[in-house]
Amino acid sequence: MRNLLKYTLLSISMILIACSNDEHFTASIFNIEKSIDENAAGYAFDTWLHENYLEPYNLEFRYRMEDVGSDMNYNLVPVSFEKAQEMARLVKYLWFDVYGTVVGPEFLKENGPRIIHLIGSPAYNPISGTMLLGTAEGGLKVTLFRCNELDSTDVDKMNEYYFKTMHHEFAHILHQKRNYPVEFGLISQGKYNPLGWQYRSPSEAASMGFVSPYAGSQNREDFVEIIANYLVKTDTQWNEILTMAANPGINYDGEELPDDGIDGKAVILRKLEIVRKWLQDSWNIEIDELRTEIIRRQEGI
Amino acid sequence: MNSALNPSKGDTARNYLSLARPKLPSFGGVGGGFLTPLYKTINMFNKTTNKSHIALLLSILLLFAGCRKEESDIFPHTPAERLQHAIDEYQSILTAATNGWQVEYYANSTSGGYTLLMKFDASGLVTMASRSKLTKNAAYEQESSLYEIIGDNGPVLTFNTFNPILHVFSNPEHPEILDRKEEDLTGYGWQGDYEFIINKAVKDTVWLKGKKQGAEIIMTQLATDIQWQSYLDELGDLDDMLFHVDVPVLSMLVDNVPYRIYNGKFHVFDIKKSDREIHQVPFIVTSDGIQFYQPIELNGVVFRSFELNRARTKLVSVEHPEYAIRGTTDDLAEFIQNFAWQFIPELSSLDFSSLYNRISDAVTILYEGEQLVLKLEYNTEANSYVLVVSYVKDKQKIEGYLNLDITSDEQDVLSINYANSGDKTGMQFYNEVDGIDELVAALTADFELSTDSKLNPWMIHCQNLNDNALFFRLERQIKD
Repeated sequence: MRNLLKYTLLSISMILIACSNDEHFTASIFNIEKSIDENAAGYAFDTWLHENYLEPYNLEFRYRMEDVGSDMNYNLVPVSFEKAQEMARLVKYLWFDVYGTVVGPEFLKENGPRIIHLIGSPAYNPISGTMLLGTAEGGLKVTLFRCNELDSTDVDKMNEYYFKTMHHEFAHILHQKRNYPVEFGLISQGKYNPLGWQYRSPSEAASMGFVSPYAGSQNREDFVEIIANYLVKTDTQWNEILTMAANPGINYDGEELPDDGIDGKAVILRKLEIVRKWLQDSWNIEIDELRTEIIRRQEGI
Repeated sequence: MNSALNPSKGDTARNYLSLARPKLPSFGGVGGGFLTPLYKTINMFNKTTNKSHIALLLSILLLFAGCRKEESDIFPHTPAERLQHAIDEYQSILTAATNGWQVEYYANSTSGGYTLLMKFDASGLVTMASRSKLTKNAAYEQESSLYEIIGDNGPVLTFNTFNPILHVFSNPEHPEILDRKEEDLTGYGWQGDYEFIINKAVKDTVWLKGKKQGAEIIMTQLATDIQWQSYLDELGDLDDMLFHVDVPVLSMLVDNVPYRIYNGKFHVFDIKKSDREIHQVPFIVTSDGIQFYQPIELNGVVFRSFELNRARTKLVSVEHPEYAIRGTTDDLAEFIQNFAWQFIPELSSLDFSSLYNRISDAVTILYEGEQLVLKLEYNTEANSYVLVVSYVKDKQKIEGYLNLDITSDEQDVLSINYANSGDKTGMQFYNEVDGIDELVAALTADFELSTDSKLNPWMIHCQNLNDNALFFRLERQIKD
């Protein structure tokens, strides 16, 4: 018994020694010292990514398709080298630099994703008739789909397909780190439809108090959709949503739906207030400052 | 390295051997029950000295002795080193081909094959080219993108940035052009691979296997004197001639067993013996004919490659030249009567094209009609071959016809005669629309018919036998 105790202690101390011997963490989880081959075809872009994402934000910007790094169940294609470069610049300008300017450069380094993976095609789900525009896995990796369709002259489309998606996914990362108030989930309780949200028209969703049909799928999607839509939409576009929300819903067949007794506009504004307060209290972010900066930059594209 | 990983292997064997010695009982206790009978057996040897027992013991000892020895490494390098070595070797084989490679690409084992040319640069750049229905405007297309050979489950060649030449086969978006069965393929596409396991590579040939779909793909080094565009245009022209549209129906007789052959537009034949026995056979267009993805056996004969004969009337088996794929008839005058044909003014002589323009203008003025279409087809109601005149007004198609008498006394020669009749709308057009009477008069003549290949006539040149300057062209209509 004594021996047993002795060996146990010995092995524990060895474990401790092993731990204390740990190497110091480097500044980046990626090998930032890795040299980029000067003769490689992607040299200029890879160097730019290194200087603009890896070094300042500890983020690996992956544009080369990795089938294993994506969902193998989808039929996907890579992003083109040209679109990847365009996207990398836009993501920096409309996302990273926005937070850098409004919240401070350390914010994204601490809370931003570690990997952005670009995919050329959308991830279709032909059975449900939906397409996936982005995913955020465990707060670490954001995948953006449909990048080959990027048209930098069409801000509305860019917002719909990419930037709304980025703010959407990033908001997921933030609420995974610091929970949003339970009270939010109670506002539209019973109205969420995880499998049939796509059958609600934007007007129908708005009249129920959702900023988009997808917001009506689950309460966490509702929460991040408020943030994403509020951030990228101009005053006119945002007011259009509120106007739709104040009126009776019209479904995809053009039929006016019976009054459901919900004041959609009031519901959306109430949700926005919770979001505003949560961003302020939990993250010290003033959402309107962020929004002004984003819209200012969008106008400058 | 093995001994470090597996230190107990030799030790265990040695310990076990010592157990067989006579001093064994001292172990007692644990394991004794198992060991005692063996000890007894050994004692028994002393008494009987039975030769067979000695042999048994020796063989047991030899067995253990075998375990003692560590196996030496089969390979001189670690798996990682070997993988890197293979990657380097494949990389140098790929980049050594100065004029690039001809890739016989199959998206999967049920899809048609297409020839792609690829040139690999040491910088990680690959330049690809192709020409088929899938390339932009069905013309020669060349694009560059990136590639890598990565260590996956062995060396894998991956084309990891978008290149329309290759990724058109995998793109789930805009797959309309690939839709061979008129289904909505959005979300699916052809599901072709763009990551390939390199099975083997030598100086002039590389054998690949699609990572997801498993199609076998062969790359062969392109000779240095081959000019990419002219080579692909030659292939593309042959492809266009034979498979611009699905084949009408072809046939092949294999020792009295007739096979009917359908489709082909996207390089997949349906070969039918009967309604029950159907082979779906992907193929690729080669510079002198076609080659099946894999050899197939029809009535006991194995086929793979076919060569188009000089007269372009049949595809002759390379392996068994006594067999050939043929069209249903060699007489275009007969063939033309089985299908509907659209008049193509821009490919017809000036007289015919200006007549078309006059009729088109008249239809616009008289009826506010657009999209004038003139067709020749058999009409069951009139029980006659007819000239169909149609236009679109307010999204509605207005159509009338005039009856034509058609006869043929000689192969490929068609005699057309206006029958002075038609349906009500047709007769109205004849009486009201400027130019129709002249068109009908111009059609009333003997025409010699010709086409690029009688295997799949989809564009027919109709030459007036009495006037060299008069001709028109007809394109075969595919039924909806």
